[in-house]
Amino acid sequence: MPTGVDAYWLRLGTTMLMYGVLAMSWNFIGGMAGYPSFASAAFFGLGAYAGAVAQKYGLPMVVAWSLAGAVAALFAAALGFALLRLRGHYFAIASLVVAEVLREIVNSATNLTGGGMGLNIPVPQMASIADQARFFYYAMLGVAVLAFGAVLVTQRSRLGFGLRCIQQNESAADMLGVNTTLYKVNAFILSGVFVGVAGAVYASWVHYIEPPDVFDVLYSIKPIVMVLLGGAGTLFGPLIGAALFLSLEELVWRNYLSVHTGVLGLLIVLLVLFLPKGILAFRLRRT
Amino acid sequence: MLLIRNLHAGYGDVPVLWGVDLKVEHGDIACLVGSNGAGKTTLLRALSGLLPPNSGSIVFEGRELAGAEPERILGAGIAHVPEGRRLFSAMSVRDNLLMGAYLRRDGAHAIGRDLERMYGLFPILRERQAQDAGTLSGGEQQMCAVARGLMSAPRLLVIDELSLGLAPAVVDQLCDALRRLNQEGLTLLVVEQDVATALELAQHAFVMDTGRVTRSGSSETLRNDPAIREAYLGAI
Repeated sequence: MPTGVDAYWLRLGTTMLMYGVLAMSWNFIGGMAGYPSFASAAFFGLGAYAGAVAQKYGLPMVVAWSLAGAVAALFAAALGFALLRLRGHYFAIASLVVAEVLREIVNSATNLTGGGMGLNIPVPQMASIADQARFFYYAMLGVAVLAFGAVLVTQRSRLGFGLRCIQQNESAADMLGVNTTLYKVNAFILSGVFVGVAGAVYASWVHYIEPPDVFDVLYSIKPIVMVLLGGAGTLFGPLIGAALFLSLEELVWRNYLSVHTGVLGLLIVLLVLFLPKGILAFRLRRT
Repeated sequence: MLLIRNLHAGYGDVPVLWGVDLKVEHGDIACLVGSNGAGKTTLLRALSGLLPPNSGSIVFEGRELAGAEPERILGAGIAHVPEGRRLFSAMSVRDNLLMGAYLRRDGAHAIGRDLERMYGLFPILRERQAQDAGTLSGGEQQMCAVARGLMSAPRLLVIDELSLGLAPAVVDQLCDALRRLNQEGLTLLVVEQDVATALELAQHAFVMDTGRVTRSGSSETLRNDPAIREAYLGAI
């Protein structure tokens, strides 16, 4: 598909896949387990910097991406054990500040990260700009396929079943022998690892990152809107939501550049009021 | 079968249980009665591992379970039907029941057989099996919750607030089912606010007051106890 289409569409496609990864990842913790995490930006930024720093020290690109995923997963595990004791709003707020803390740390660790000056990532040696664009499209596609595979496996496993129970009634799930702490931490790790890799791919793709860019709180909020748009806890909801969201972003927001965050807020309110279960709920409401 | 000794538990700095002693014999239906705030639910939470006790012991079939994880306690054979049912309301009745068998490792065949047994015990659940549990009536939800507890194939079933908010006819139906289960060998510990119902159902009863078991004995004895009559049954 990408051959012969122009750069704009290739870029849009790569962004779409990245959004898909973010949305599918959030679905693990937010959709399946019902924990409203705002930590996506933290995983994204952490992955971006882990990948970038690894490449700065000479690791090959793909190795650096994998390393970013591992770092994000470890971070999610440690963070999960601490934060997943909180529920509801408390968990949401605690997860929200994580990205801010990381941003400050990255800002001050100038030797390693370049601090506020940002960090340049080596440009891969390829024949043309178009080849590069295609390469990153396929890289992001690979991450998206991995994430989708993980969703598929999880939904059919005991983990997925257990997470749905936790979402509906955590103490009852506990009582029936679901190891809720372990399951929640696993969901959190799954919600972090692919976002970390996507962050690293993004860093390589744009060649230059700085803290306010990759730790942007919108990376936490957008996936939530996408999942709510598509249908929380479902298989295709996050992907549909990501496609829909990106279309909105492109078609509508470009026309309202100065008020586009206002439009985002309005969209969330309308979603919660009129479509709390997402687009897919229309289909499910047959019975 | 179950022996609780000098159990202390509470929430944070607030102690609720002040040394509870309780003994349930194999094959018994025991009930736990007491007023609001006496500590009945706290005792059950400690028993099922949701609340780690501060001190004391819970011995079930010779195994010490005080402070154990909920999964281990369930694995040991104690299932808990929580207060207010706590069903997975957006999941079907059938899935709720299957969730009860979550920890079992004895295969789909045995679990399927037990599922059939539940439908035999509460036929209405078979009719409703594909429906979301949240759409059931209160009585049906309680049946579903009891059946879910039974699906873990426990040897001791603990039920919190059996009759709360249910119509008398439904309570009778539930009690009949519990008696039948008891005859098949299941031991039961039932928490009940309606003391008359409790004493009718159970062979042994424990009265809790301010975090202790203050009286215990056969239901017959307690029913004729003047203090119990005055406090809970309405002395006539």
